[in-house]
Amino acid sequence: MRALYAFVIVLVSFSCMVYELTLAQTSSLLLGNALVNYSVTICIYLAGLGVGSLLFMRYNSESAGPLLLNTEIVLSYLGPLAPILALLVEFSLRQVVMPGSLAYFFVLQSTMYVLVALVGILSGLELPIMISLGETRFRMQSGAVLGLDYLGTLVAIAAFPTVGLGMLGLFGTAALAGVGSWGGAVMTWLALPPAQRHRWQLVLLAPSLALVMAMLAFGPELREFMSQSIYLAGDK
Amino acid sequence: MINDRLRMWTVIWMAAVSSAFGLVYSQLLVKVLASITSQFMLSQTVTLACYIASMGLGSYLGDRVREAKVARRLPQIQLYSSAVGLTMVLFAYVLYMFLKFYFVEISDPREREWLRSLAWMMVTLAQPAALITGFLSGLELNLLLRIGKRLAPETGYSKVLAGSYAGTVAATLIFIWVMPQFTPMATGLGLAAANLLFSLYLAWTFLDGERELTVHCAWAAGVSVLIALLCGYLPFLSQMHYKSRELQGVQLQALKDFVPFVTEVLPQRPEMFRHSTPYQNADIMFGADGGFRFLLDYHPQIEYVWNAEYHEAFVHAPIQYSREIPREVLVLGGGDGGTAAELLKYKEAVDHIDLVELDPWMIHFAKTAPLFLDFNHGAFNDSKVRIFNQDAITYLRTTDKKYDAVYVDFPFPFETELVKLFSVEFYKMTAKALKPGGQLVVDAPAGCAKTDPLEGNSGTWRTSVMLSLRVAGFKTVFPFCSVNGFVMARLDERPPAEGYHDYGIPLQLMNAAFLENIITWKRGPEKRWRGKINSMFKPLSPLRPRHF
Repeated sequence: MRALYAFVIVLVSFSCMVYELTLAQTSSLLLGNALVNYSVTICIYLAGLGVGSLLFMRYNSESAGPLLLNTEIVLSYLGPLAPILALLVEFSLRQVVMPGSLAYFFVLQSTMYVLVALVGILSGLELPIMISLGETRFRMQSGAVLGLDYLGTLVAIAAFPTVGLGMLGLFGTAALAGVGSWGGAVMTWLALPPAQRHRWQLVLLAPSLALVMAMLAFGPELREFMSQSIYLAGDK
Repeated sequence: MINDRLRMWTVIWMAAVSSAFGLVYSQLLVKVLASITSQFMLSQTVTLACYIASMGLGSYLGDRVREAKVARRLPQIQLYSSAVGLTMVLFAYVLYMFLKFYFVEISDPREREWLRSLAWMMVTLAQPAALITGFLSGLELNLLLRIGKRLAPETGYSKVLAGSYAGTVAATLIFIWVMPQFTPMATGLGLAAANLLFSLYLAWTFLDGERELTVHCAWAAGVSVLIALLCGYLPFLSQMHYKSRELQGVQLQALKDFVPFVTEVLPQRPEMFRHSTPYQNADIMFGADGGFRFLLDYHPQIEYVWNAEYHEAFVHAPIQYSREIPREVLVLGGGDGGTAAELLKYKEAVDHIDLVELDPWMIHFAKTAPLFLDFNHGAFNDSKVRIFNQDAITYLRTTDKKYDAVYVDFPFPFETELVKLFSVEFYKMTAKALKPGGQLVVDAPAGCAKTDPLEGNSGTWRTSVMLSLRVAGFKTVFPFCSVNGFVMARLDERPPAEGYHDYGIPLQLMNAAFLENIITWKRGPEKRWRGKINSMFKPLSPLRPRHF
């Protein structure tokens, strides 16, 4: 069980870092000026992590397990869908507001930042939960949990530009991270005592698996559709 | 006696400051290594990997620090961190000089793999700094978490982690807004000084014994003397680094020659000018013969020996091929003014030129620096030229203007950020900005099939631009080559005109023979174009640089 939990920590931190990188990439595609937008995205994500950490103060160590599971369920939907959502919002926005106008950038930036902040807050919630769970249930000290968390981040940073963007593309990479969140959720479900887990959580996880598998299987088609019909459609 | 609440706030504040220092140090190293190797992705990935891995190790080993010693370790960690910050950039510069001098400068492009190895060697050998700062940051975070847990058993972890994340936010802001204002060397020294002050504050807070405090202050005094000493030599050290970049083909006979070379030969070389903007490092390097080279992020953009050859081929060859002088022109990039100056030679025929350049400093420099005015003839002061300080993608997505010609004059895709400017999606955007019968001209890593300066990039980039233009809907795509490759593309099918037409404008090199010489599409038939298409949603790896 301890080894399984260690794997969950690596998987979860890997997925969160990949979500952040895919959102930063999407942000630079939609808002231009990559240097500023990439950095602002990272800033908001980090601030979100801080808020997420603080939010955990509202919970006790008893509720840490179910909280981690629920967070992973939400992330398994939100993370892979976030870049698609951002592109769809931008597409819809172009239908009603003049591209390049103040309103256009305000709404688009706000949307991006809300998405990044949401992923950041949920990711930030995870680390104190995992430390707490590690100490109370898996005899794992905080340093070990932090170390494993950094390992997941390390894998994400190394894999994102090469295996991720280079081989799977933007949406495929987000989907791969979605598989990570999904796996993290299932393993957490298995590790939790029966009293703390519910069938409806597994039911909720089924569509998210279908979603990420579809995104991986139809990667080129999805990329073509998002590029032609959404990203480039309606440009003047 | 301060209460626990105040202590908790102190710990949160410390977590913020120490995380900020760690992240800024690692990013400073990335900046230095990326500028030296011109490989941002490699520098970022290796440095962050080392930093984060050693953070993990530091956190893990932090559990072994005995409870009684936890608080006493904090000032020491900051002192070590300051010492690393102090030496980080200097170490990287000296290492670069050593690699540059000790190994033969490679001028043969076929030796690209060797160049790549040197870049890897540089990035890898500079990593002790990232490993030490990462280890110290991880160790410190662990110790602070333990203190936080002791002070507030239920909420301690959350608060300390939140403080740490707040510090990383601050570090990112410093990285975006403050670091570009200073040279890496000055940034390193400034950070080391701030870090030292922080360590003294921690020593005053956490060290009880008088002896411990005295020893700490003595070490801090030593580090501060070193900081002051290096501050005095700051301009000299920066110049030495810039000069060492320009040396070609230096081979030392023995290791002992290294020191005299650095102290005697290098200072004799002409001074170099550098300006850093939030977007790029611009360098002007003067040769012994009075000529100059202009580089952006160490990639040559203008060199007085080939400036005319480059701009005349880029601007006039497509006009020769189409036999049409564009009335309304869009130039994307081209902040040096050379492209606009060549277009303005057609006088009345050109109605106006819209130029989109991201970096306002570049425009200012091209408008005012005599060096640039010599070849752009004050093109940006011409009423026909309208300048937009904007991101090219944003401009293309939001403009409803249509042009007779679009000239794309960006630096080559050596950086991840530049790769998207050579993608199918980008070319589709430019296609929408063209009038029917309009033409797109791209300065690109393509087209030079025979004497390809980009040999060694596995052919991917050589053909990717042409293939991506095809996918973007351009029916006529043909490359040509002078100093480097160019590609001309049209949405309609129209073969390029043969022969040379004299428009009666003053040109230095362009004539029938020159035009015939730069034609390459006849030599490399289209059926041989193989490779990958570059998409914003599935980008190619950046082009590998040719120099070290």
